[in-house]
Amino acid sequence: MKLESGDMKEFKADMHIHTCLSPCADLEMSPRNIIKEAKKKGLDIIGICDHNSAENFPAMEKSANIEGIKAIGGIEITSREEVHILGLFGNERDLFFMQEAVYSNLHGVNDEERYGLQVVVNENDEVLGFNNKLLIGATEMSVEEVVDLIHKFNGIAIASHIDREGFSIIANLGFIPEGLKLDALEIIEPSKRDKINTGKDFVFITSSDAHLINDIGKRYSCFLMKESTFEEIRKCLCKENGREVII
Amino acid sequence: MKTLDHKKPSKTQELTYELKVEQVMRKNVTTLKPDSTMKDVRRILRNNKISGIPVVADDRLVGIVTIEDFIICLLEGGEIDGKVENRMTKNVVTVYSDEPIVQVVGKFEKSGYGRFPVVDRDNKKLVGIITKGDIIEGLLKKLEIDYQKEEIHTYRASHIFEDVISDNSTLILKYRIKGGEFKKAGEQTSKLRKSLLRLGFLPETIRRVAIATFEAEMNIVIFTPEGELVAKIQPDKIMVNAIDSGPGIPDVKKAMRQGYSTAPDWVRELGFGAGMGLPNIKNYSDEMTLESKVNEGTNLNFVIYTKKK
Amino acid sequence: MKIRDIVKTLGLKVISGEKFLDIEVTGGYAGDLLSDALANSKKGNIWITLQIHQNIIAVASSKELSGIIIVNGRKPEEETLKKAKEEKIPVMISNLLTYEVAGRLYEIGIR
Repeated sequence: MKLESGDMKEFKADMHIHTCLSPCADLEMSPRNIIKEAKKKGLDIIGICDHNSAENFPAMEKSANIEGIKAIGGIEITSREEVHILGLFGNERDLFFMQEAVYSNLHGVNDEERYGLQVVVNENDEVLGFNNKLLIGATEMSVEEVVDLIHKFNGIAIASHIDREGFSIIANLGFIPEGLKLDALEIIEPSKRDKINTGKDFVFITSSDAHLINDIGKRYSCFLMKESTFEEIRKCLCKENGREVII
Repeated sequence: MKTLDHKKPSKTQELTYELKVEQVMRKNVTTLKPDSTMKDVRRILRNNKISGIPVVADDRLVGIVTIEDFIICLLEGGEIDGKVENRMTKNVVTVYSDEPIVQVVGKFEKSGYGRFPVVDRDNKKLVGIITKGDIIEGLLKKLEIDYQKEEIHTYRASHIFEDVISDNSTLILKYRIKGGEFKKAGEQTSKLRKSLLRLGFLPETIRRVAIATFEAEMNIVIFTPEGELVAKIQPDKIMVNAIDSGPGIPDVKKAMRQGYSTAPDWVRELGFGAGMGLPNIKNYSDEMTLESKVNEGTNLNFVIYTKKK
Repeated sequence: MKIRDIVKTLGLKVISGEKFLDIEVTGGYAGDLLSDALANSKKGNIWITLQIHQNIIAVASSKELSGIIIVNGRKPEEETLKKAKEEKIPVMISNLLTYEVAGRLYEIGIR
């Protein structure tokens, strides 16, 4: 561990948390409940990444601000190979531009009884409506197109749970395609990272992929950086000036 | 309905593009048969407090009989037991259930009729009847629903574009359109409109984009085999490119005139193509260019700024 | 049996490797998880998949598969086609679904 710069701190970050907007997530995953749990677990930064949508981010951000937690807006995008890619964004404009790009490549209507409710809420946990898109479906975009779009909207692209047996880039595509400009890889079991052949030297993060309240923060990454901002996270993933991710 | 206010379409105007006849028409229509009598006409007009009754044979509309027909029958000393088919208006002007309201408004204006029977485009069966009153009622209901919805959206998204001076990221949305698919006409515009709404653009901006894009989409549906709409969205402006592989416009100047149309008769009979809508696009956009080559296609570009320049 | 015979019997559209249709096919593998294809396909197998990503070519090449049948009429990405040509891998398209393609292959003796 390098701690050469005195002005750097460790931030506990769980960058992959679902809300009640994801059909597979528990309905208890509301802004207030999530923030309460994040606070309890001592998280400084949380990433809100619902499947193919970001409609609950405004509410999450407001709730997080009240408790002094930094919320980063994201989307867990399903590529047409059914690979999950996290796109994290620095502001709502980029986030919602990305959401529209995803929506225009996502077809089908949700069946609430089969797949679950997709609840859009405000920061007071009040229901604003239900998203009727098939959010668990796959988009028509290839992994390359997804990563390029994330970068076009100034975002950070992270391959989700690469050590899972499904919806992961390694399970679905065998290996990480050469030249794919991922900014980091998310791993569920950090201890086994050396056993995975990733082709080149990627930065790893670990996060909870929480669909249930109790799971929030059960895995997290420590970002060694100056402050809890999106730009600092970007620099941290590039290991700029001694910044680093500790998992 | 009054003519277009330059660059400031009202919410109602926008809705006339979005609402379809079937959403505002009256279903459960009381009908008569050709061999019903004028006595039946009197009974129904009185009991149902209506002013016109469609006449139907084998599910097909064969005429319409109105309060005027009944009065004329009395004035001429006609028989009250006489058959409806001798007094009804044949060759009835009808509208299709999937037509946008804006087309029907135009038909009311031109024809001077008080009501149109509504028929299904595919099987030509009578499915309803529409009056100006129904349109107004339908618009008011929709206005109320949309108002509530938009309030939520404004609350959630309006801050997205605050404090944005200039930005390099552009959101590009593409929509493919097949020519001749009248039933789907307007669907792509509706998708773009929903995207803009979610992104938090001002309702007035969205309205201008929606009307101009709708006209462009209709032109592709009516006149061309296929085309594409590409919307480039930036915080300060929305650019739309409509490109088609169609026959092209021989005389662009003429096409820019209000009411000018090269739509063939069969298209007009479908309720479309009263004008090419190009003057509308020009009206509602801040910049517009049109290039067209006969036998090659048309390339239409328009820009709408989100804030006053 | 040669790829050429399979192409003829199943009415496949050949989009790459036209010159290599005389490769002998020894058995088949069907599946869309490339990690599983890497683990369980065998040399000479013909691979039935709906994946169109360029990685299918790398997998087919490293496992020395005889060819790839893409199902459901899907068209491979440009990059995939380019790689297929480089690696000399026959790629065919079928309008049938995986189950039917596998069934027909089994029927004609690819086991």
